[in-house]
Formats: sequence, structure tokens, C-alpha cells
Amino acid sequence: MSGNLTEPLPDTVPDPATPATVVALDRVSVAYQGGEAALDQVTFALSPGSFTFVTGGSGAGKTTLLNVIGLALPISSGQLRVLGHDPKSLPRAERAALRRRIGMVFQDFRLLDHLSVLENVALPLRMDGIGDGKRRAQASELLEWVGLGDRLNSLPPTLSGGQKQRVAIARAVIGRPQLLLADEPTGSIDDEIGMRVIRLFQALHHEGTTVVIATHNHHLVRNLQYPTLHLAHGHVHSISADNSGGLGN
Amino acid sequence: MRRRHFQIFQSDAASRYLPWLLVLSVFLATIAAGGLLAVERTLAQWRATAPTIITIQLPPGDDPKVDEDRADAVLRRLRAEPGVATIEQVPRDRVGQLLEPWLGSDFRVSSLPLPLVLHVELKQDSSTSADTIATIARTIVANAIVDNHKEWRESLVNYVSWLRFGIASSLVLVIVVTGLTALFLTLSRMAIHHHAITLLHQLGASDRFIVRALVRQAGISAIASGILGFGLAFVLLAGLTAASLQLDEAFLPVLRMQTADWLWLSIVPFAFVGFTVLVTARTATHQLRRMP
Repeated sequence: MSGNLTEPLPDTVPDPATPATVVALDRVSVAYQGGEAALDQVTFALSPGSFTFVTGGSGAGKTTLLNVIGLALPISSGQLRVLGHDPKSLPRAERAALRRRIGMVFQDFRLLDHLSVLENVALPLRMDGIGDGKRRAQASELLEWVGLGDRLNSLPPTLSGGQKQRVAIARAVIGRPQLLLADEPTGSIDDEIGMRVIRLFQALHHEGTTVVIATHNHHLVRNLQYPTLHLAHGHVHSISADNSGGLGN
Repeated sequence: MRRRHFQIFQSDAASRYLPWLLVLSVFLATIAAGGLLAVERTLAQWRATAPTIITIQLPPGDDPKVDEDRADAVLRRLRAEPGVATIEQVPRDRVGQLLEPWLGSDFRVSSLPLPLVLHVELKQDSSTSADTIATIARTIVANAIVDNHKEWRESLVNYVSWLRFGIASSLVLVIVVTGLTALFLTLSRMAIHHHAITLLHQLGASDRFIVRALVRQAGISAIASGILGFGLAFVLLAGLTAASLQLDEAFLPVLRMQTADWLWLSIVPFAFVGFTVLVTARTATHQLRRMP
């Protein structure tokens, strides 16, 4: 990708119809009970189709940031727009619909152990009210794509870490999300499997999905040369554009 | 391979408890409702037929012939009374039969100093009171004992009314306990499956989707429980109905189900399933709204 930084975050929040930014945070803070700020005055914006790493040490706020962007965590102050919407102003049902446009991959996979691989992957389609036949067909196709076509009826506890991660990715992308968030996707799998997982993300990125990956894997960040947002103690410590663009403040 | 039944939320201790509680609730509610119907019917019968029966006992004297003459005199005098519909002497053999539960069957009626018993039935709209009957009888037989059925029937009606209140209260209690159990089990299930619910939210599930998943699981087990609970109650009530065929329903409330009663009772399991589902849905919706 060409390396063009997006414009700084405008004072006015972008028009929802304008695809200038997929995610826009303006002085966003998140405070947990006890008053300690997990995120403090974070400001940045992501362009459509960008690929961004979020880095930082343990407790830097990476997971909190992804949860905020994924609408899993309310902000304490500031302004947030995701896919052109201010989540706070949306009714619950529409907020849920907005979440379906965001794919999330969790570090601990968060698969439902009593459901088969196929059922786990097809869950977002079930939420969309898609019929059984179409659900099975799409989930099977996607599981073939991530190399798990032979494990459709397996239960998650019988899978290796890398396989679980691929199931989690398939589940995250089956609804064709515009934004894909991944929290330490290579954190609990070995390097070789980790690279295969990253290649999956790159493939999705090439299809136009905006990808945000939180990682503490410096080796990965250095090798792939994507823009990086570095967090420290809840603050944006630095932003590097590298060669793929898509990140601005 | 047998295909598993799809459930978003895994079966848990709480969801295994609810069906058995519902079996018990539906069973108790059906029995209570059956009891209520029987009591209602008996009370309605008693109220429809105003008690107009009076029994007169004429204690025996030394000479049976004199006793018979005095009884004839009372009969004649009361037959002339305009408020009296019928009056007859209860045959001595019948009096003996009435005493059989206490004395057994191997006694001779003539060997006992039994009173002569007169059965009087007043006209429905009669202004003649039991006191008038007693006064007339005692002018002929001074120590005549007059038993007004209305008095003890009123006590019985009063008692059965309290019985009805007790049964209705039990029914209400069963409903309240069922509702509270559904409420706390839903809260428990949501706590047990908190991570799954959070995950579903993050994947974009609407509150409605999650509520429907919880309600579907609760509803399926509630239907099975309702059928089982009603089935057990049906067996018991059918048995009691069969056993009650020899009893006089006009005298005591008897658990004897009629066709219309079964139709009413068949609503009970459906009502309980609906109630459980409603409580589950409302509790889950309320809880989900407190989540981000």
C-alpha cells in the first residue's frame, strides 16, 4: 500500500456518509472504577482499507482501545465515531447492527466450546437471520479458506491454538465486516502458525477490509511495515506511518 | 451420527433445575385448580338449593303405641301448616341403617330405644321458620328435638368458603413461587453465561436475539415439564374422580372432575409455560439493558 498519512482529525466529526475515516477518536478517555484512566485523551483516525498495528506494553491500553472501537466498552469522555456513527447516540438495536459490521478476534479466541466449529463460525449469520442452508454453506466455505474444511463438526476443545485462532478469524469475517479488530492474534500460538494467521489478515486487507491488530510482537511489526499506533499508560505515545498509510492524528 | 440440538447457551445446573420445579408447580397448580372447581361447584349447589329441611326427633317413651300416636299427631298438625311442603316419618329400618356405622349391622332395631324421626321439607318461599315447627312439635311432644339443617349447613358453607380461600391462596403462592423461580433462574443463567452473552453482544447480537435464545431454551423445557406435571395431576384427579363416584357431592365437596373441568384444567400447563416464558423474557431484557 502507498504510504500516505490521513489528514489530522478534524474538529468536527466526519459526516457519516463520507468514508474519510472508518474510526475517529477525539480526546477519548476511558476510566475504570477507581478512577484510573485506561485510555487518556486518545486522538487518532483510521482511513478505510488501512492496516494498522496497535502496540504497547502490558497495561498500555491496547485491549481497552480495541474494546472501545468494537463498541464493547463505553467511553468516559471525548468523541468517538465508528463507521460514521456516534455509538452513544444510537439505540441499542442499531448499536448491535453496527457491531455486526465490525469483526473482532480475541486473544483468547472466545469460542463457544459446546458448539461445533461450523456453528461457532455461523453465529453472526444466525444473528442476521440467514437461513440454515445458506449459513452452513458460507461457514463451510470460509472454514475451507482458513484450512479447516476437515474440522467442521469438531468441538473447539479438540482444536490446537492455531486452529482455534483460525476459527475465531473465520467467525469474525463471515459477516464481511468493514472493520476487523484483532487483539494479540499471535499471542498464544507459535511463530509459524502466527504468520499464517497474519497472512489471513493481509488477504482480508487486500479485499478492502480495514484491519487493526493489537500486538506486542515487535518482530511482526518491524517485518510487515504497516502504520503503528504505540500506546503507553493509556496515552498515544507515537504514531508511525511506515509505508501503508491509513493512520492520522 | 445423531445431530445435536442447537443451543447457544450450554445446559447448566440452573437450567436442569427449572424443569423439575415446573413439573411440581404445574402438578400442584392443577390439583389446586381442580380442588377449587370442586369446592366452587359444591358451594354453588348449596346456595342454589336453600336449606329447607328440618329433622324432628321424638324421644321414645315407655309405650311404643303411645309414641306412634304422638308421631301421627305431629305429622297431622304439621301437614296442615301452609309453609310445609312435605313431611314423613323416617322408617325405623332406615334409622337403623343410619346408625350402622356406629353400631354395626348385627343389631335389632326393635331392641333399641330409638327416637321416631320425622323429615320435614319447607316450601322454598315459605315464611314458616324452624322455630315455628319446633313450637308446634313441642306442643304435642314436649321433649321433641328439632334439628334445623340450615344452621349446620351455614357453618359448613362458612368452612368450605375458607377452604376455597386456602386453596386459592395456595394457587396464588404456587404462581408467585414459579415466577420468582423463573426470575432468579434467569438471573443465575445470565450470570453463568455472562461471558457467552458478552461475546454475543460483541459479535453484534441484539438483545432480542439473546432473549429469544434464553426464552427458547426455557420454553422447550417448560413445555415438557408442563405436560409431565399435568399428566401426573391428571392421573391423581382421575383416580380421585373414580373413587368419588359413590360419594354424595351435594353433601361434601368432592374432587370429581367433569368434562368442562378437564377443559379448564388443561389451560393450567399452558398458562404456566406462558408465565415462565414471560418472566424469563422480561428479566433477561431488563438485565441486558444494563449491559453496554
